[in-house]
Amino acid sequence: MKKTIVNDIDFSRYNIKNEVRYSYKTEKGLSKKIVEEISERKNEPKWMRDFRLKSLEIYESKPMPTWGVDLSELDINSIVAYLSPDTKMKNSWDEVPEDIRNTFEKLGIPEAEKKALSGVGAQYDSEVVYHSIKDNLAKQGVIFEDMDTALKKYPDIIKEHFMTKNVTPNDHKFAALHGAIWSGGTFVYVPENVKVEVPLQAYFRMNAPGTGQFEHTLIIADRGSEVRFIEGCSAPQYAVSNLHAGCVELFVKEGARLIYSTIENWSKNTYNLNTKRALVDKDGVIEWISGSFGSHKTMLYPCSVLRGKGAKSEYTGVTFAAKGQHLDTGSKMIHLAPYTSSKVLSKSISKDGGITNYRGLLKIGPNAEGAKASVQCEGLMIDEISRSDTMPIIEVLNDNVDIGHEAKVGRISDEQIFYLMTRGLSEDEARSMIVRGFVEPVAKSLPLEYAVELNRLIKLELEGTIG
Amino acid sequence: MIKSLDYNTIQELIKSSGSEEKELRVKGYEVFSKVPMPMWKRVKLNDVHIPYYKEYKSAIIKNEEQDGLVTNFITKALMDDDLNSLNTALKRNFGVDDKFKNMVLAFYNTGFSIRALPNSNIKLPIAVNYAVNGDDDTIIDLNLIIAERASNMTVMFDYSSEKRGFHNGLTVVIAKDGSNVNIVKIQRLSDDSSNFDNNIIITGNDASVRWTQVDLGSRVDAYDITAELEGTGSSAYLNSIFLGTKNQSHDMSYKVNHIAPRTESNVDVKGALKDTSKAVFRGNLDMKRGAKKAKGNESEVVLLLDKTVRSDAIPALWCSEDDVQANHSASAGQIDENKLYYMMSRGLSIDEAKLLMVEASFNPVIDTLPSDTMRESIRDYIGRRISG
Amino acid sequence: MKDTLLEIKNVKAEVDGKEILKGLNLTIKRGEIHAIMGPNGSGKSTLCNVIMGNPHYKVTNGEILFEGEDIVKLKVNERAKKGIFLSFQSPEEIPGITVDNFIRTSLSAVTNKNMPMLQFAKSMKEKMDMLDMKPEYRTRYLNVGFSGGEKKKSEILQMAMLNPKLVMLDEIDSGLDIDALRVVAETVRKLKTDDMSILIITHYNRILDYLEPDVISVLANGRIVKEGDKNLAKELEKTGYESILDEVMS
Ligand SMILES: Nc1ncnc2c1ncn2[C@@H]1O[C@H](COP(=O)(O)OP(=O)(O)OP(=O)(O)O)[C@@H](O)[C@H]1O
Ligand SMILES: [Mg+2]
Repeated sequence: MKKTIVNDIDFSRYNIKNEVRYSYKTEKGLSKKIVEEISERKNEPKWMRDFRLKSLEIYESKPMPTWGVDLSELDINSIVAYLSPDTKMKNSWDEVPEDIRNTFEKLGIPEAEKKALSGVGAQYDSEVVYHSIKDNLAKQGVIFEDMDTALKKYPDIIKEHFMTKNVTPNDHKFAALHGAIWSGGTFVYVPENVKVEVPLQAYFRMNAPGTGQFEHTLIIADRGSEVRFIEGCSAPQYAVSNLHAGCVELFVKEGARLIYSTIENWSKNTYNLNTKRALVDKDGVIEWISGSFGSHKTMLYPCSVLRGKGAKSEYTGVTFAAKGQHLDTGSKMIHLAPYTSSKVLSKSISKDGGITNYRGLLKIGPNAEGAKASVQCEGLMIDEISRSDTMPIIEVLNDNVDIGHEAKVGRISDEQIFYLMTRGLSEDEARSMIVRGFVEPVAKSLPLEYAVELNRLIKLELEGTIG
Repeated sequence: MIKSLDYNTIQELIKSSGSEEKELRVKGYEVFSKVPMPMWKRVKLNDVHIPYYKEYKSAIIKNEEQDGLVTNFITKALMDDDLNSLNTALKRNFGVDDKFKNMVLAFYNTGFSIRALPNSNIKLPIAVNYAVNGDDDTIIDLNLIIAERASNMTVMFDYSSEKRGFHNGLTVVIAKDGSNVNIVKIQRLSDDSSNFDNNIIITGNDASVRWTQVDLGSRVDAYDITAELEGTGSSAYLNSIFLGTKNQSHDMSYKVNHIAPRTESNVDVKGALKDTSKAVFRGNLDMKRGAKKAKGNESEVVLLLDKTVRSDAIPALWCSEDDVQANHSASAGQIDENKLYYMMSRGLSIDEAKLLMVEASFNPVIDTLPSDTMRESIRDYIGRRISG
Repeated sequence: MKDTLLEIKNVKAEVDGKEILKGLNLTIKRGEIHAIMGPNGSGKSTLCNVIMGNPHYKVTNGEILFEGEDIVKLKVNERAKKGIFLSFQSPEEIPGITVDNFIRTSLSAVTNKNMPMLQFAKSMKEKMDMLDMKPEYRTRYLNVGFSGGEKKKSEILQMAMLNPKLVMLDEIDSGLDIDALRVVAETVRKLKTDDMSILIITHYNRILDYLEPDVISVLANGRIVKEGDKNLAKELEKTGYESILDEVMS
């Protein structure tokens, strides 16, 4: 029975450790000198270098957040901000150094690319090592580049959009940190009315211990376009802390639709302090699909700013916290225009002392006549030593609205397990089936390969307690 | 006697009192003088003035002479053995803010101790009225309600005023094993008054507390009700209605801590907001480790009657025990237009229909109030505020 | 010859931008029992809502004359005060408001005066007895937890108390068992005065056995496509709507 559900249960594929070979890396910690070094090495225009230095100032002026997860053990001064692998970016897997290629092969990336993707970017530590897009998309004017290349090829677009009007370094301490030492990431531009049927993917892999990854993703879906973007992240397990502070800026123009899916499986020594935001214009649609499994501590609240009439957002997330993990995730829905609508479905699972926290903001501004919003949170407790908290904030400044929030927490009921066991399942199988059913709403909104991945991760996580 | 809330006043207040009262006031004053006036993000305290200390002599208690019931002015009670109960309760974390909570402990000027003796069944509701009355416009009340084992009682507090007043109170309810306690609090202070209220409930095994909060008055209003469900099988049912009109601000906090197994709670808040009023609902449902088979529920429904209102809700749910059922929900919106249409098809004007829908939402709570005249007068009051 | 109570002239109406009534004409005489039949989705409930003034339904053309006055611009409650009553196909539930409270409130809204308590109680008892409703329903919340049949009785109870001039019964017979149907229909018949007109929307003949219609109209595709006397119902039962529609369309 187990075998038919998920083919292989092999944690090792996430845990491949390669020898760390780098062409360049900065000293540990953070300083003006380090920031200047990164910028210089990347041969960036002056404005970007100034922007980095300004961000560093902001970073230094802001206090550590005192809410969310406990960050007192995170020591930025022991983290290497920038580490460049000893390879240049390639457009063919054959040219990618063997050990790195092997890692991505074990993670299934090249294979997925062949089968199910329109384009792939693969980042290894601080730099993108592989990038490629299908010809037909390039012909339609779709741009899919790694961020450093984009900065050189499309300086005007990048200068206009890069942390200026979406996420800014002033937003919070880790957005400022990102602004100072960002490296790698992806730039996507989908021209008007172009529909990218097959997803684009970026995969972020941290290999070296004690480093940080700070990739920047910028996607512009122009009027009437459609695109689906998938982001995957993982890293092998080390004793020292890694830090991931990425930033995702999405622009969804009038009538466009963007689906942004993330399967995050950072190793359990990673601090994942990520910022994601979408600005959505008239009749635009943003859909966030988010699976958070890894990391030691996570703070992540994808934000949708519904600023055009009729704009829509959906957030579907599953968070799974096991031993030693504190995953503080949620969503922010900001309704600024009439007839905007949003829907949140959050599922969380806590086991082995893991802590999940749904933290959300739903704000209906005074101009959001006729706004509709619903938030639904469900927490599943696998045992009695774990924790599941829910902390939504709802602010309504308009009467013509229809909003609802619902949350519940509980465990798998004995009756359910009993029922399944009378049908011949073992207790473990019954539990795992119930958990799969629990995350089904998320699984079903993912492309098949990723749904399998999600189930595999859940299986892995459950094995610990149940197996 | 009008005095500022300072140490001299404390000295004067404790001159003639026993050591218990001294200790309470001095300890309260220590914290009060140290903590700054809070700055709240959601409900602004700009319009609230820290009052002078004044005497308050207008408190009225009714039905206090019943078999099995012992009532006293709080100052008298502190000379007896009530102080221990009070002190254990005060160790808990509750109240709108340390500043306001300790202001009461340091400067209370009225209050009652109400005790139902073991196995007693107190039939008539005990009514305590704190009205702003002439110069008696500063009500700082400290109340201690103790239901001994297997006793039953109902206590109804009514805070009212026609003119500007200040109220800041602290009420401790201790429901011992097997007792049943009904608390009703009605707040209809005038539109320029300030209201603060700090409440804590502690339950023994199989004790049950029902609390009905009717929150209608004051310009700035903040209250907290914290329930510590410590006794196995104990329960707390907190039902509340609130109405915001004009520029009122209501900040309402409910905390239920499920500590013992098989505890049960339900927080049910129904509100309506009109004009430029504002409400904040904070619900904290905390299922602590060990509260096996506990059930907690929390819900808030707000009717928004005007474009200019503001409604915030923070219905948090904390869970560190797997063998529990916990739910919360919050919703806000206009009155269902199909229902309005249905009522109008029976001849009601749109305003009448809206009023009726607000009443409809409030009635299940109003219907539980223990006196006919009280029910009528609350309905009238709500009708006037919505139509006016 | 009786005078005209309601006259609908070339009414077009839409809901959510979709046109449902497409130039409908209908006349109801004072005291008349008028049945409207027609396929599902043809616009029968829409017609009732348009006559009652549901703000969700927009009249884009035509007039609705009630006692000679165009009521298109009147609010729902103003129409109720003029004596128009709609028994809803699916009545709303109003938790928190008792049947008693609701009927008293609407009675005083419609009549502009308060009926003395005793008289009200007496009148309620009389009507509820007729409808075979238990007295405890007076203190239940309006329609909350009522069965389908009980909801219909609650509608007729309101009609009985409000004493309107035009009663629209939108599928009052659906969800009623045979005995309940008889009770409800007979109550309506007993309550019907010479001045009261009744518009019955139904899919079945049975109710027409109790409340014999003077006129039967067939509504299809947003228009009245055929009118006849009570025999038309029998004919429809045999042939279905299609033959009529064919006949009209051709
Ligand atoms: N509020 C509404 N929103 C959208 N469409 C509606 C609404 N009300 C009615 N309609 C549509 O208008 C058409 C007519 O509906 P109506 O309810 O008047 O039909 P009916 O003749 O009463 O049908 P039935 O015999 O099934 O009760 C249907 O297609 C229906 O779906
Ligand atoms: Mg119908």
